[in-house]
Amino acid sequence: MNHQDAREKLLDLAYGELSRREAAEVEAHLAGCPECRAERDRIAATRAAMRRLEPEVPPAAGERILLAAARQAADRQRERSGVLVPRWVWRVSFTTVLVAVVGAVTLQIVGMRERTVREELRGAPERAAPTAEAPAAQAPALPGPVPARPEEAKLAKSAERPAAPARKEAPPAAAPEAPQAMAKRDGEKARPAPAAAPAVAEQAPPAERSLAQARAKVADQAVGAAPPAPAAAGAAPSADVTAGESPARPAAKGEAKLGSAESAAPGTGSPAGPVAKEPRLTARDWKGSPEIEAVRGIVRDVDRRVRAGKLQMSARPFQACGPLEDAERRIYAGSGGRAAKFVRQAGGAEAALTFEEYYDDAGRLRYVFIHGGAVNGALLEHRIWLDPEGNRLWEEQKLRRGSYPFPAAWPERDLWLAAPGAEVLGCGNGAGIR
Amino acid sequence: MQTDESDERLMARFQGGDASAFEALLHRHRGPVYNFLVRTTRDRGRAEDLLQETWLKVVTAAPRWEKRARFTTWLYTIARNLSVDEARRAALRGAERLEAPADPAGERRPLLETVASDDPLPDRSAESAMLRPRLQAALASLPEEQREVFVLREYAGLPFQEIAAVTGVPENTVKSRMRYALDGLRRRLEEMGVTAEAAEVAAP
Repeated sequence: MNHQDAREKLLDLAYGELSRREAAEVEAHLAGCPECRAERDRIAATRAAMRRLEPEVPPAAGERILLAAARQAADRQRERSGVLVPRWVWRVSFTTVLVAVVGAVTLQIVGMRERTVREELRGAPERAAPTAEAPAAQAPALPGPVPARPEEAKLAKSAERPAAPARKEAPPAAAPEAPQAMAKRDGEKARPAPAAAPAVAEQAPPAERSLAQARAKVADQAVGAAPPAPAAAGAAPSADVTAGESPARPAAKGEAKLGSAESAAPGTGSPAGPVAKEPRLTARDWKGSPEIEAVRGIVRDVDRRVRAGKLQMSARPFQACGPLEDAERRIYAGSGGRAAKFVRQAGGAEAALTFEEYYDDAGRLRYVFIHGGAVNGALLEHRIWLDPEGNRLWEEQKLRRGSYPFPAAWPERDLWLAAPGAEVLGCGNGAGIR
Repeated sequence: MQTDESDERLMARFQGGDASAFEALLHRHRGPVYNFLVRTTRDRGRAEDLLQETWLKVVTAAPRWEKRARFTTWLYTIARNLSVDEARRAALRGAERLEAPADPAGERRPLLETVASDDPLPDRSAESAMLRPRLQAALASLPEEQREVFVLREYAGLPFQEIAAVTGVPENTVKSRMRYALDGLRRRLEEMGVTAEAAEVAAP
């Protein structure tokens, strides 16, 4: 190897990019060439000096967001390839699909229903008036998660209450109308979400009935939330599979709701079901009410103890349990090892959410703060205040930067009514699903 | 977690829906990419933003990554493109930030003042604390295209051929930039009196 060639290759030699034979040739040249040796040493010295520049360490904060994003993408990928269907897609995505579909369907029905109600009003005012004039805040039953604005979210305890026949001195006109509405629903279900549709068909009628007026008012807003339905429909088949296999969920209120909704479907005329309690709080007075203030006191107290380091924090990221379940759980335990505050990160293909749950001294869930974002950029803040018996005192939802059909009445299955302990931090305890 | 699994293999697993493979990639390359961004932008805040953007892009663009391509080439191309775009936008905004020192101690203060020469017990860390601003200054003094090549080779460990792919110039150009970079650094370090001690360290 001549001098020029060797000289050219000193850089490659320094960085170990030469083949063994080439390296040997350059070394052979170096042995007899002081000029090249000097250059080699200069390179080595400069490198050695610069290697002493300690690496910058990136802040840890961003890492979790990236991992959450990767988990979501990985889930989507598995869904697409059909390799396996994550259970939690059902938890978040399916809920939102359902919500979107229910929203879309009820809207159509509400449109028709509103006309009917008006006709009814003209025809028989004395009979239809009570329903038609029922204030939105009293509309007693939201049979399932429904996309709506805060005003509508504020129906206290709405999610758990069965469809309320109390308000059903409502139009008998519902019966003649029913076939038409059914046809509409059928058309709807055939298109976007085969799996979700049956449930939807059962859910819609009471909604249409009791909430006709309330919904009609927000029709415009809800329309904004409807579009994700077809897009999200891809996730629906998973519901079919997973809903069946979902392991013993203690409070299957979702199903209970469906059941009662079914029994109260129009046409049966059955007034079955308990009479709904009146919501104790109203949009006007909930904020300063003693019940809400009591909850706020508990939350403030728990947070104060968290900040003061008085609660034993234990956390567990759940990568080892598989990416389908809660990503992380954190418990701030008070005396007795039960959570005073319980924080979970969860997510699906479309949304990443953090649940912060607060418990009183008796281990009863009193406040839930759900926050997070959807893939379309919408940001969610959802708050639920509960009384000591676990009834929802109030519930409100705030969306920023766009809309996304998060359930306005948050499904009960996402809430841990009793303070969990360290047992939920282990694998195989149904992480991510209850 | 297997740590010796190749980047490409991990990436293929991530494409198949395995999020833990991404995590392995992130652990392996997040630091080096951050260093690349800090050294090229000379601004930690911007580097942090770009770091997030880079990895989010890796997530979203993963399905389009081709198994033939080396992962690091792809990764650093993303980081570099984002960085270049950002710099262009900043320039359009007329932002002065490009000129603002990333590390005031390292870049704009008279360099020798930063060195506490009467430090009684220059242990290893104190010595490196003294050295650090000078090394940073030397690196910062390089023209951008030379600094970029040097950082990619020296700190990120990319071979010249990959650097050529990332920066979009022929490999020979990359190598000549590298030579200029090393020469420039040596001169700068000499001016600051770093070379002697560095050479000592390098001596066998």
